[in-house]
Amino acid sequence: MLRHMLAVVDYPGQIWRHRYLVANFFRRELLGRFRGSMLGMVWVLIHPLFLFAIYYLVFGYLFGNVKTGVAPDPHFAIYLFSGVLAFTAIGEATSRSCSSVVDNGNLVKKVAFPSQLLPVPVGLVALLVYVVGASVCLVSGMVFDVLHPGWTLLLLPVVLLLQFAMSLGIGLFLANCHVFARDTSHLWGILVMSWMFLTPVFWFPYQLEEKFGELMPLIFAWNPAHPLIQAHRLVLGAHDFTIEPAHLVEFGDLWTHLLRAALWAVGFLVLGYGTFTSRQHKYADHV
Amino acid sequence: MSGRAPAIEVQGLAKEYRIYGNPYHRFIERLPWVKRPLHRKITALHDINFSIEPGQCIGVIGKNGAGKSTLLKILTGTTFPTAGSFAVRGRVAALLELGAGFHQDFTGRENIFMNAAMLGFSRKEAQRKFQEILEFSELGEFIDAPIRTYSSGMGARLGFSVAIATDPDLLIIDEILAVGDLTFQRKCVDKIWDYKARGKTMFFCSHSLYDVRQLCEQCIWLRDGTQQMLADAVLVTNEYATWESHLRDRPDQTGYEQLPAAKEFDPRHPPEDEHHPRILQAQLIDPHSGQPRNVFGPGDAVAVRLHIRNARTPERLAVAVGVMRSEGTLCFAHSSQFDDLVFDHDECIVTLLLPHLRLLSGEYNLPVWLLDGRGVHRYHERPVEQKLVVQNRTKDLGLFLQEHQWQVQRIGTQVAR
Repeated sequence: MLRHMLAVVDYPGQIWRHRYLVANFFRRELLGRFRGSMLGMVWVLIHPLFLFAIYYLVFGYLFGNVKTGVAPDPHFAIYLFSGVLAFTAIGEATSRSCSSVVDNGNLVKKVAFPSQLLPVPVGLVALLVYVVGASVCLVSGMVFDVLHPGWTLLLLPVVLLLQFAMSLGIGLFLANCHVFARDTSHLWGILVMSWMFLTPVFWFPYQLEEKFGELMPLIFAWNPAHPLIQAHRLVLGAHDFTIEPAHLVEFGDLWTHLLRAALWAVGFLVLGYGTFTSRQHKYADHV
Repeated sequence: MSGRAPAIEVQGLAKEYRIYGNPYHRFIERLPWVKRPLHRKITALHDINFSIEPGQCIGVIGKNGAGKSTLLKILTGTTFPTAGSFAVRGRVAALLELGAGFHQDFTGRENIFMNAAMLGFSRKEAQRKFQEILEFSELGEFIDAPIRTYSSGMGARLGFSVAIATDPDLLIIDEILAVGDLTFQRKCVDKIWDYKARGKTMFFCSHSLYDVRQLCEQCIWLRDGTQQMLADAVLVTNEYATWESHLRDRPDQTGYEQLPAAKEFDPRHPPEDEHHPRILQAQLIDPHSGQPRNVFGPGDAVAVRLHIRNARTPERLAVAVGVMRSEGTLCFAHSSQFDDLVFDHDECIVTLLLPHLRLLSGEYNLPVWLLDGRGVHRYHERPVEQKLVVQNRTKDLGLFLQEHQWQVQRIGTQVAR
């Protein structure tokens, strides 16, 4: 097992060597989703546009600057939107990776090929969907004067890489479990939803401290998705802002977030790759 | 025996499956306080040993569930043995299930590239091979239609074309010779022979003992997961046929399955008449007069006259004639290819002469096969028009007239009465 875990250093190399295979799977994964639909890939764009419009209308008017009553406050809508986009990307990549080996059972059983690459294209598709959504978020955030992107936007690829690595690690782990216990995907469906509510997507970190005391934020900081989500918001140009009545919403330090996310990503990747490759030889008999 | 390293070397190979009554038993069993095993063990393969020289073709025969597919899967590398070791040298391509991994919603073209990538091709290699695959598969403009619109034959053709285009060092074939229509089958058979002629190794699994004999030098007989026999293909197929007939308790059918099963002729595609060699007429005749005759007695001379027309571009042909008693016993069958008679005339009459009919009374059907020069591909099958009726002049019983002599020898001295 340890041997398999350490072999993770070869994983990026494998992905590179089999880039043609990965690219083909990526195409299949992406096009397969929209095959037969009239708008095709345009749905990737329509979805976040609609999502934001609804957030803006509902949360802008409901939770907006009620006191002044002038215009809806876009701050919360952008906050929510950026969080939902980033978390959906993780959720989507992990859930789809989870069933990737079983779904491709026909291949795993009949063709000898590196099945540890199966979650890679899934993660890449989630990444692409996120990038489109993030662009919508960025543009609308700038239009509503909420996001002020600076040089940190250059760090977006780093954040994407970390998110990809983390989803891949979790995805490999889940895919392995799912081969032997088909309940994994159902269980993960619940877990990923709970995880979303434990991550500052819908709520602000200051609310934790207010309600549960000073210890709680420290515990919640161990949530692997926490630094990633905040890093996403920071690179898109989110700045600390105040919402009524007089609460400061802080996003923390970008570098701390990146470091934490990187540690989590490496940890998950080692665990996922190790568990996956150590049992890989049994998959053909179980799928 | 050449001094080259074997293409496949298998030692003490075994594969065991654990069957659990319930998916959770697998986990419960691991708990430390659970002592009783919750699974049944199924031995799919046990102690398999063999090695194949490069350029050889080895056949695998056995009943369903004897472990043939498991062995093939292990050699392909999709599943792993529980014990033993195996080494395969060079690139392996498996024709286990044609078109495994095709995505139904994607076009043939996209699937070719996808499949090529999975078989380890780079983009450049795939592009280079694409034209070859397209031409061989004969899909034409259908290549840009989604696979789900294909007929099963088209899918199989595409699958075969991709697999063969990888030009593997070891080709693993599971019942492959029945792909698509006659023309395509012929192409597949040619491709396989061509492949064999280039000194590549083949591993061939089939229920057709006839095919195994024609293609393979060596043959493995698997029985309940163990290696019952490994020897010359003719020897093994004979042993197997005998064993199988005992098993089925119908000894009279021995050997019939060793004959090639001719493919159904599809009347909707009459053009094949033109493109393929056909048996125009098959008749029983009296060899002395040359006139049709179907009633004979034991010891008579009998002839089967076949009128053969070759394809537009003449092929090398062989014929086979079988004699089957009305209840289905194959009494004998001769192939001209076995006797090294192969011909390529545009049109010809082939006569099989049986100078002394050994059969005893009964009604016999005579199936006739038209084969390619190697005796693998079957162009046409039809029965001889008349039934052969044999009428005894003696009181002998049974199937055939065995030459025989009686002797009586007295033992001891006669006592006077």
